[in-house]
Amino acid sequence: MFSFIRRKLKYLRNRPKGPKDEFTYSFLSNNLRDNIHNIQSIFGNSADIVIRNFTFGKDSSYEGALVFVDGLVDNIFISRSILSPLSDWKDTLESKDNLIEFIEKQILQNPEVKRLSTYDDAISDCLNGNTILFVNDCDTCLSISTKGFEKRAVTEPQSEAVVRGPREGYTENIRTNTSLIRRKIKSPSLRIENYVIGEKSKTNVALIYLEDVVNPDVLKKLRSRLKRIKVDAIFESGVLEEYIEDSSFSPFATIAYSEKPDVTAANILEGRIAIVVDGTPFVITVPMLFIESFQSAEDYYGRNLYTYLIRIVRYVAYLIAVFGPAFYISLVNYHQGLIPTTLLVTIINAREGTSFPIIIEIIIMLFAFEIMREAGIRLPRPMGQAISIVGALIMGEAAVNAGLVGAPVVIVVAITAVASFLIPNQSETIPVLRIFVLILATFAGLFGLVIGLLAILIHLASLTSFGVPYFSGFTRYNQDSIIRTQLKSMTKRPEGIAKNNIVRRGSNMKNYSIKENEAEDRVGVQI
Amino acid sequence: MTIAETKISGRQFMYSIICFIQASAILNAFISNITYQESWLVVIFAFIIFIPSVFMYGALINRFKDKNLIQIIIQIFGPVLGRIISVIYLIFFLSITMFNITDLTDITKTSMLPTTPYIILVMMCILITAWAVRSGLRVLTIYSKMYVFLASFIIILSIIFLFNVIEIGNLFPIFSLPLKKYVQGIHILNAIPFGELVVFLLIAPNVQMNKKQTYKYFFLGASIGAFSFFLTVLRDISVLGETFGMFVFPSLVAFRLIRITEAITRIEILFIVILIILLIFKISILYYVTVITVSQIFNLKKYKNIVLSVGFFLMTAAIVLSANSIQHTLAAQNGAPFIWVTLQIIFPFILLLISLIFNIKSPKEESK
Amino acid sequence: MIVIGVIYLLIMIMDFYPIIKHKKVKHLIINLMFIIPGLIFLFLAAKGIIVKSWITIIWEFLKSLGISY
Repeated sequence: MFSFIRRKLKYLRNRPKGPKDEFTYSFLSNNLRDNIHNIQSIFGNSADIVIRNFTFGKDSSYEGALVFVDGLVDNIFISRSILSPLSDWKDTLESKDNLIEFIEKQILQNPEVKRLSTYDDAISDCLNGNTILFVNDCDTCLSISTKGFEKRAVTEPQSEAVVRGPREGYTENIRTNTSLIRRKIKSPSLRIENYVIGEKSKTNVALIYLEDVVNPDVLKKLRSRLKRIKVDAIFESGVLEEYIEDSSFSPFATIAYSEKPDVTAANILEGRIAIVVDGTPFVITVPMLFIESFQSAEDYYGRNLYTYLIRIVRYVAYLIAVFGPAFYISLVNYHQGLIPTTLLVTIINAREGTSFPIIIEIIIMLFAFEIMREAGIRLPRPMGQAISIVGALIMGEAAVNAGLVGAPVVIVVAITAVASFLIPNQSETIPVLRIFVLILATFAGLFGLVIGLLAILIHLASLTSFGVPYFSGFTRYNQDSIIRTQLKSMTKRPEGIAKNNIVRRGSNMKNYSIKENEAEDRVGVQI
Repeated sequence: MTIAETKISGRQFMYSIICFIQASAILNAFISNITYQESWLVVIFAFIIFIPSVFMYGALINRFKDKNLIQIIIQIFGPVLGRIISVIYLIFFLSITMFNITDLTDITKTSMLPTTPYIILVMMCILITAWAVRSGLRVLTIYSKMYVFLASFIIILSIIFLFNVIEIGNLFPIFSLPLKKYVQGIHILNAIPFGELVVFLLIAPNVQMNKKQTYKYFFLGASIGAFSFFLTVLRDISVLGETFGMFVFPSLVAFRLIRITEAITRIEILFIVILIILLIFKISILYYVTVITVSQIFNLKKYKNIVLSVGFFLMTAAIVLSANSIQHTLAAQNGAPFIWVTLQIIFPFILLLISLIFNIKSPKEESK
Repeated sequence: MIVIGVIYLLIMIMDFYPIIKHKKVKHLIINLMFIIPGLIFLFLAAKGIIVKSWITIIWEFLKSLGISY
């Protein structure tokens, strides 16, 4: 009776956090055969489930069974750390009750062992790569960590190459990824929270944040949104992103992603929360500000003055990428006076041979460009290069010669396309906004362009990312937005993100050369 | 009762006021053909006369914290009479919104897009402002600071570029016109750019500021706005001289004289684009106020559902209005100031007086 | 022209306000109150009928009283 209550309590304490699944929460029985039979029936004799029966103890008086999934575990490690110590033990115990406890505490040399009492726990652990040890006459089993599946090594990330800076990137393994972050921030206040999301996939998801810096409102919102997710599977952080973001209809992503641990670590230090999803090398961080898209890791590793320039180049490139074709169309169609006269003559000459109106020309070229880009991304790399050569050289030239489009349109579309590659984080918004502004400008020239600009601004101003205004950071807080100031004077964290702990570094670091010169002067005076 | 909104800061309120007046600066044609080269003098006098009204608005805001103009009217005059007066205000707000829309489309048509149909411009303008109004007051005013800087930048830049055309002699002689003209000019200025600040009485309850700040921000906003208005008029007169009174939009003509290089002939379009942004800001504020008034009169909790229908009404009305714009301009110049000033300055003053005499305050303060 | 709208508005307020309490009906009526005059205006504009603005009317009235510049 009491043991039942104790078991019940134990079960309640250890209840898994994920959503309820199809198997019932029934308890293990005392009989080894029954346990094995039940496990077999739950798995339905799947080919990759291995059940290894064995005997141990003095005169082989005890029976045991190991259950694991082939391919998820390290076989050599199992035989070395579980089977061989058990077979080496040639002794017997007075009572059978504490056999499992004895094995756990004295025989096994594995660093991570826990006792389970339900089928449900046993099965989920087994599927996560642990080995389950059943022993006869025991109503609990041991879950022994023996994970050892194939994984990719830490390599340089494909999507965010840097000239200077750390070259390690995330892998598909959640533990590796969390360890990469932990290695960057060795503070005890770094918290890692585990969630299991997906009724079928049981994907492990980890929240990583700094306890003393994080904005508690954002954390609360994120937790409740994660708990509300009820889906079959999460395979990529992008899927999770769509389930938890504020406005999924907006063209702007309100959640940032990165493949580099140093970027994530810097974001966590500013008070953001990183979400690591098992099975993908892309780690997402919330909340995100618009200006984050224009920051890159190298901005902080390179010379300060150069980053002034490169930031401004990025903003200008973004403007060109969105408004370039629209501006061209409004100039040529409505405001020819704004084009220098000689250039205007050239444009008119170039357009003489073409038959379509200019809007059709631009749409043809933009569409052709999107087709080629998509083809270039999906194909293997050597073929992708061939596609770009065909696209850029042959099609552009041929289209002009054939009189399909004018040469200036090719230039405008080309500049627009190249400019959009400068801001990879906003690459999904640019084509949408570009078409929107293009249509407005076709109808009403620069007036339409202004209307489009205002519409984008209004939309940006009304966006939030986990309650933090998305477009903030320009006015209230200028240490790291349009320009990156000197690291020494960048003393505060972004205001909306880290609510409580704003100061990030001391302000007593002056410009050393000046200080030392002053000291030299003083010495000179004394002499 | 109050419309649920996130509060904006006092500074944003100030920038909105500045921006509001700067947007009107392009419409200085209202006085250009009345007081000609002495308009700059009239601007100074008009603002000096307007200063007491600023403090009157401030006092009204402070006396009725958390209440906007319509709520004050309804509280003082009771539900029936108060609503009738509120409807008059509603018509007033509708009209000035409409006039600004027609002005915007006129400017756009004359300066940039002579062939585009009127209805497309009005429709675009209404859609964008409706979107802004639906997004709420915070979004509406968030860019006011940027707009103020843009407008100031434009004024300074245009003065620099026009430096070789400016002739100080154009500003004189002064005091050469009959007195009646000065009175009319001051009267119009008090009605059209300055008196329109009455709309901020409807925004004030959503602003976070204490009693001192109310006066400070309102006065600073009005005076900085008036100063840039003054600069604009000064620039236009000194550039255009005697022809100042002859144009519908003198600023456009002044911009047209800018020559940076010989190759680019129409650089003024870039300046006008920014002025258009300012005017759209002004229209969206007026539009917001109109919608708020409607929802107050009918005691609605949410105003978002009626934004589009009000916008549709404004659009059609603006189209009808544009058909006889000359007569309308004449009427607005000669008749409107009498009604405008009554609603903008005299009536709020009466409200303040009544509330002082009968000691009416907003109920929240009484309970404290 | 707007005079039509004014009278319309006044009638609407006096009539329906105390009676109708339901939120959706209220919104619908207010919306219609603006859309119907809007449609009338659109119709007038399409027909090319020039309507006097209420400001013009009041101005003429004021002028007859002698209050004008």
